[in-house]
Amino acid sequence: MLHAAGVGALMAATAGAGLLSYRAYDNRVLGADRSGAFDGWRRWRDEPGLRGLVAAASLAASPHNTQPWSFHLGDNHIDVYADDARRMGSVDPYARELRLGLGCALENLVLAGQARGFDPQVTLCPDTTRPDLAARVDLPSGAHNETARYRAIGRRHTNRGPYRRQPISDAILAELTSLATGQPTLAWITSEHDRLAMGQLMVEAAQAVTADTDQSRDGFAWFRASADAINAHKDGLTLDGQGLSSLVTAVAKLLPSTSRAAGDAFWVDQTRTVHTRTAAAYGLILVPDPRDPVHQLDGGRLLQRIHLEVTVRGLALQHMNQITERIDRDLSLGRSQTFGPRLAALVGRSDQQVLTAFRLGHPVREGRRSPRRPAPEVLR
Amino acid sequence: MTNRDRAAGTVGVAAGVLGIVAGTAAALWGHDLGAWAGDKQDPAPLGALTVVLAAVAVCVSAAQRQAARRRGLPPGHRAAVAAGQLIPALLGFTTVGRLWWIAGAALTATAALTISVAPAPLGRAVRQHWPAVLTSALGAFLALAGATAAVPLMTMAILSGALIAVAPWQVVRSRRLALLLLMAGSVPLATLTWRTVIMPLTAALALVTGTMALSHQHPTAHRPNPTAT
Repeated sequence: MLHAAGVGALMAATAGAGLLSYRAYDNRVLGADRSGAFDGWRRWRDEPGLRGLVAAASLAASPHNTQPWSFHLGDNHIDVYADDARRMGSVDPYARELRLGLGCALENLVLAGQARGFDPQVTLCPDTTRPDLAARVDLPSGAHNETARYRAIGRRHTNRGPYRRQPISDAILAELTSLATGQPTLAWITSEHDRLAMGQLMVEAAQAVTADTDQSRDGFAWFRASADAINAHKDGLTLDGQGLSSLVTAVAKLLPSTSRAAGDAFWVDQTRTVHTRTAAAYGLILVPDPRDPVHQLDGGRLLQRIHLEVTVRGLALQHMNQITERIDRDLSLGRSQTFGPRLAALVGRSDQQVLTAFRLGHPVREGRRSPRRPAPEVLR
Repeated sequence: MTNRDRAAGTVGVAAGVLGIVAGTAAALWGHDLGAWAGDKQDPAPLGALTVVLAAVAVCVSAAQRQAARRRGLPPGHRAAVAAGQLIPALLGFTTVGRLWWIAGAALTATAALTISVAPAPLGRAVRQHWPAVLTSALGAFLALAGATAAVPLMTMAILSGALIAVAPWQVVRSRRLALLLLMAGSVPLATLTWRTVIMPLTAALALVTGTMALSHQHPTAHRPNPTAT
């Protein structure tokens, strides 16, 4: 009897190991970023001609990794278009985040142009009859200028993991601030009191986003829970990008995919226990009008510039947009503002509003690659 | 019985060759073939894997044909042949899409035919060597779990899986050798991949079943019995 039970248990354990091994294979517990959806990170310098600039632009930050861009190659210019089908609906009703992403792509494109011997000249929103045309980048010949920020393009990743309890030096903050020339401007939240207040606001905003069914659904639509979904879409958020330890990531990949409710609960919990608790500083990009497309695009360029500089310095950065997402959501529904006044009080600037926010710190672990559509798939 | 083995071997070889063609086509033209090759992101390595799987099926089926001409398959060998036909048949369905359908279906039928020739002795053989069978299966699972890793780790996982899979069957030669193979296949890989959870657990389970197999099996149990087909 005991022998039969032992044999049965071993056979059941072996069958379980078989199922989990297949799950590990199918969901890529090992070699998550070895599939073609991550080729862009490995080959971005290999693309010839103007496609090389697009390959670099395609590695830029974007909201929920939606990559809301497409590019048209001219003889001596590149047009950058917004892809409104990739806007996150109720999460981004004024296309604030979409244009931030386009601005990030523009910054990479300019850096890649300089590195390849062009002198990129950017015109934002060049044709008022074409609202989807975000920018034209003319490319006259110029000096080859391969900067450290250009070289950091392939290493820049959003880091959602914990950061060390180590403040960012004033010198570094000052150098990052100097990256903003004119509009938009940059503000930092570094004191413990203000960081706690900002963190509380972030947590409450995350809770509000998840309690809003439309926003929750529109955000979750960009979560890619399986290797198949990642390879099919080559965009969106992934388990590997959540900044979890290797062990926890492996367990999460072996378990069945999470529901939207479970994903929301996980995000709020991470915001409370990791993102806000370990932030060494919060950065805020300020503009006079956060719904002005030009300000949005300029803000995106600055955001990417900061992120690349942060990467050069071995620091980590995570974009945190839940507060502004709630501000835009309330505004789009004509409701009274819940978060706007509290954020404005934290910033203390009557002439400027927050376009976007991020946290900064010394990483505990490296950020991971996110899936990318390769250059040929974003050309029009 | 030998006629059915010969027929199974012939169909198995033919299906395996078809599988090799399917794998080669997926490896070379997978992107152009689209849904026919399973719409895979990386059809080349999956196509190559399919070629290897199909080659295993060809080899065991050819061995089955040869054995059918002589004295028939001993039960243990029959189990190995059936596994060599069935496992590639099932895995192939996940690698190259529709290109595998005919080869996979034929190999599955072949495995069923191979088993149907002598199910009772085969069942007895499996029951007699169940710890070794489980250990070999666990070795295959380890190789599968590591198949997506970077090349050095993938190679190590496949080699480790192979060592574990063959270890319990080497007891007829030397118990010490079998134990060495089992340890070499499980301990380093489990240590290196502890963060994956599944690989150290599988390796630990293989150590348990493998150790049982080494103490459970008797060297004479592996000698072919010409009368038992």
